[in-house]
Amino acid sequence: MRAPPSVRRMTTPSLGFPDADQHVTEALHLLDDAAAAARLASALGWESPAADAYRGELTEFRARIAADADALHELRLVVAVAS
Amino acid sequence: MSITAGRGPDPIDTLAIVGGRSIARVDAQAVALAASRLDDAAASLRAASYRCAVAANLLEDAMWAPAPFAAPVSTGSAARRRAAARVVDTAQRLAERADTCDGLSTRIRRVAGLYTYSESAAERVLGALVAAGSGVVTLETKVLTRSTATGPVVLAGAAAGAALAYGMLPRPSADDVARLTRDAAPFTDEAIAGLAFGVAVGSPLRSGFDTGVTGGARVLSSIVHQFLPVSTVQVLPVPDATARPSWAGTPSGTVAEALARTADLYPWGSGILGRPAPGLPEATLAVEQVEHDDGTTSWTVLIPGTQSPIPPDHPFDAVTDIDLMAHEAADVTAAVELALAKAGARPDEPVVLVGHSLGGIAAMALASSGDFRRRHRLGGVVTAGSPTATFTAPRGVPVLHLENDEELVSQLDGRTSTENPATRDRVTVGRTLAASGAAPDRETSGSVIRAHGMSTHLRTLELAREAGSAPVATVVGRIDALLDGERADSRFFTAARTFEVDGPVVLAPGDLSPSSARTVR
Repeated sequence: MRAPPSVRRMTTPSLGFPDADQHVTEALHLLDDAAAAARLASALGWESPAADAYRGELTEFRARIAADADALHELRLVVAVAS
Repeated sequence: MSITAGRGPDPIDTLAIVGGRSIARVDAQAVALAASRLDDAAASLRAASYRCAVAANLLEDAMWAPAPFAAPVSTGSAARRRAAARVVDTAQRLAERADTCDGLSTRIRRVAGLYTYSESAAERVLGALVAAGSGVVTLETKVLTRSTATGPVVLAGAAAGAALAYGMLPRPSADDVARLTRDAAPFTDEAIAGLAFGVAVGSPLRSGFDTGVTGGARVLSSIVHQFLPVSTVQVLPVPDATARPSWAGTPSGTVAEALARTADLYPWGSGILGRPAPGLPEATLAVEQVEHDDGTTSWTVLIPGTQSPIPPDHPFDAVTDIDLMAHEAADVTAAVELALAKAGARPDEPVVLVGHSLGGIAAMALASSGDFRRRHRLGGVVTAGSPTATFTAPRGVPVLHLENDEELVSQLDGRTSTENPATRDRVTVGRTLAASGAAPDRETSGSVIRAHGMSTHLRTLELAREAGSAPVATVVGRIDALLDGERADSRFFTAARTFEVDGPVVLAPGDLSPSSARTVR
């Protein structure tokens, strides 16, 4: 029977070289940073057709990286089990 | 493991727009802040992609063992393999997201007129080497032709050219030519600057101690005119029996239509899909008198480009190209002034000059001429595929240049599109066709003729409008206002050149040009 993934192992920094799951955890944190930066970038007050197009594209982009974050969250568990 | 985005860039992202008026200061600050947030997001995404790539490597490493000790494939290693594959996919996707984010940042800066262009250090070093190399080669050629008899050198060159033309030497394939065009395009400006430097330094008196492209062209112009007889230019109305384009009698209305009409003036037509060739004679230029609803009148002059390489009986040839690049009096500029005078343009009525290739250089030569501006009120200038960076444009006059890297013509001023003079009124829209993700653009990038054609320049303008560029929208809007009106009267003239065989003419600064009666600068 396979052991459940250790949350502590996934989140506690190690003194040794990080494992694969720790790299994926770090990637998830970086993706959160990117989502936050994109949210701030969407708060553009400029009124013009070009700005409207920009806001539309950015909304789509944010939805895509939110989906990426969900997928990466799930992947983190898979990697923790596999590694 | 290399993680890169797979798709080519959107054609809009290959645009380079310099000059023009940016948006209001408060909006500009907001755009700059938003774009920097996107830069942060792109950096985070790229770092996340890197972390995923490292994780995938670690998972793959864990499966590896030297052959003698390798265990049979276990459930654990299969799970690792599947996990590694999913992590690699994620890394790839995150890299693509980072590229998208960079593209959004660039695009919003570009449309707001805030983007700044710069070459990488490697490009600068390579460019400097190309410039220095071409300059040295030109100087050495000059020394060689002086120290030896010029005749054998010229004969050898002519023999090699003839052998190539008649198939005695292996001709490069179409693919090779396309590849060469794409590879040479980024360094054409440096090569031309180097060549011009070599020519100008080799003949300092002829170049007027100007080591730039203008000085080099001045040397060539001086040499060419040593062998040519005196010429005069006449402008004659196109005979009534000649077929007129379908658009005759209507105002151009927009910059795009004015450019398309300029290309229609070539005897072989514009090459634009859906625009049949009107069948006008060689060396035709058009003057439109536009009546506006407020009772005012403006004029639009459409000037096509080079139609013959050697001096024929009209001035749209390579000699005029050299004269214009040398900032000397040229027959085409004289023809434009004569056509405007014959059409009845008054000094207080604004004139918009629209030119392709040679026509664009002539338009900028007139725009920079104080004499022309004393005779006519300049309303705007539009050029497509013209090397115009050496000319100055008057303040307050909207000027639009359309260029691309692969046409190898607009760089004959020794500068790339992004190095063109950029002011609040002067906008250059450049494009790197080879970098575009669209297949038609990439195909066009391998042919100098297609890249230089009006269709390509119109697509560049369309992309700039589609991108919502504020500088382009402003300058085009100001010119459109003069091109559009209630009604228009179109007149067509052919420019004819007559040679007088009394003897060679040598143009020198201070002399009067025999064709245009302008003082040579």
